[in-house]
Amino acid sequence: MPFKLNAYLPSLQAEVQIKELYYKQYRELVKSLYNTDKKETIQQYNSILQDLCSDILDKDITFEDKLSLLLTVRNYCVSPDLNLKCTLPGNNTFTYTTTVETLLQLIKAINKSSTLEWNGISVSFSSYKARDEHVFLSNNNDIFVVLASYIDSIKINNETVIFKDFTLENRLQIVYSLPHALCNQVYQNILTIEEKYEEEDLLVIVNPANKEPVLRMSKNITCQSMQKLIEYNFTENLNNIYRAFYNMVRYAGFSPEYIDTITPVEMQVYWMYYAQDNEKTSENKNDTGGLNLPAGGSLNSELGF
Amino acid sequence: MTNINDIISTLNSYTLKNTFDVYIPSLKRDVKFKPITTKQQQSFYTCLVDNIIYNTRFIITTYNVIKESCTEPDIIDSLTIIDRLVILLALRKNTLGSNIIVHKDDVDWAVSFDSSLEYAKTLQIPESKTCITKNIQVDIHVPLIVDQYGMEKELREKEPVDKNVDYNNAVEQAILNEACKLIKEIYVIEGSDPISLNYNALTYTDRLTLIENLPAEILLELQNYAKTINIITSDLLTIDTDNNDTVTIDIAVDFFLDK
Repeated sequence: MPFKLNAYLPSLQAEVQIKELYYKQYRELVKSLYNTDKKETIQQYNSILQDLCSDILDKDITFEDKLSLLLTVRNYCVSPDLNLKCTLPGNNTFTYTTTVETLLQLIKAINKSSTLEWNGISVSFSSYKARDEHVFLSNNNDIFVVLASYIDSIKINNETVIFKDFTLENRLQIVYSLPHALCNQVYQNILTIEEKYEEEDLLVIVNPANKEPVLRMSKNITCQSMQKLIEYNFTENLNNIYRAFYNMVRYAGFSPEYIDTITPVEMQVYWMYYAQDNEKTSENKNDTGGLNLPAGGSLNSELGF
Repeated sequence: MTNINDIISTLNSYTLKNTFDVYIPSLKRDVKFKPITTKQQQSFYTCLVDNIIYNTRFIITTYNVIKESCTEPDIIDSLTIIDRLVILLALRKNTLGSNIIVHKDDVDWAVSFDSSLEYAKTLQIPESKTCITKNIQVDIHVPLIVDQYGMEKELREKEPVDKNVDYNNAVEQAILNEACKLIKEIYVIEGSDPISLNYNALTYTDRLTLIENLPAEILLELQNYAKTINIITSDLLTIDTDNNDTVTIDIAVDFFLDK
């Protein structure tokens, strides 16, 4: 039985269980960020999340839910640290360090869910749905598309319409058939909620030299900000990813099949054991057969963590 | 509910139960209208780029919205352009409320058009009129929305909206267009019996050609009649402000997009 982690879906304010992220899946996530077709990248991330978390198969998860799930596996299976290299004008650089847990807690606290009652119709909404992410890639601000994505259900005459059962096209058809006065009120409520979260910081990086902010991301998660957060958390040099895999098989003697069924952080642990053993048994520490072995207890950049 | 057609049908039933009364001046009675749907509202966005003289898209869109929202389809073809303004005011009130911002003399005035809807209950639609000049008889009436719509549909819907405008020619055409809508029927008087030219059976292009050949006196009669209508619509759309001034509502696409 695979080991599972507890993750949190902010839109439902509910916990779900998520499997560990294996090295194979991590490699695919990192690789897919290099894909120029962002729709394929989104599909890859969503597909891996569905493999990891069967609890979401019958749910219409939101942008915040998706981030919460991805940050959970990033935190426990890859690394709890987030180091961002910032390049300033003039090519001065500095590294901003925070913990994934910090971001995770802020994401978990986002709750955009609400219900609006209007002349006998009840509309429940939460946030943009992860399955619609590709629609918003081009900064699509069409009010009706926003509503079709945000709305979870409509209750009318004791009948409930669950939006997750429908394609975006069908959801748009339903939105178009709603009284506009109702849609207008729902949209105004959404704007109010978004404005509130726009005021709240999710990630702020200041220039250490002059204390001026160089990057600010608000808690109002949009398609664009989610893409950025995923990039920040899952961008890794592909050479490191493949080199680490190669080293584990070639030098540490692990089977490729096994490597693909452990988490990146477990692989790192194994590599440290191997390196420590090597240090003890080797008379000549410089003769490592071409390996760039890590110092005891430190992380190896070739492993990409 | 998982069947999209059932859902749409349920929503349509819902809107039928939430109809509201609109007083129609030409009928001198209330008619029930359904609330504007989001799809109808969306159609207003297509009017943001429009023919600057005729507001072709806005006229076509509002006609369709009125036709779809009215619970008495039989009356559509008899509604006048004055009724149209009253209906649009009522639809706007039901959807976005009756408070609007009107820009005048570089100042934004927040006003309510509830008074216009009250005024609509008192206004009188001008009676039809007959003008006879030489051997031509022309019956004129307050233009119908079906002609307003039909003319834009036939003459300008497919025209590019960014077409260069020759303003002299445009004004001349606009006067003829207005005249075309004012005419109910044209007769040629031969002997004692006027012979109908079946004006309504003609295309709008042919109607315009016919009007260009009418005696000038008829055109003057048409202009005088149009002035009467303009006074009524102006009164309908003029609202008092807090500082004893007045502003006039412009019923264009912004009226349905701004809150």
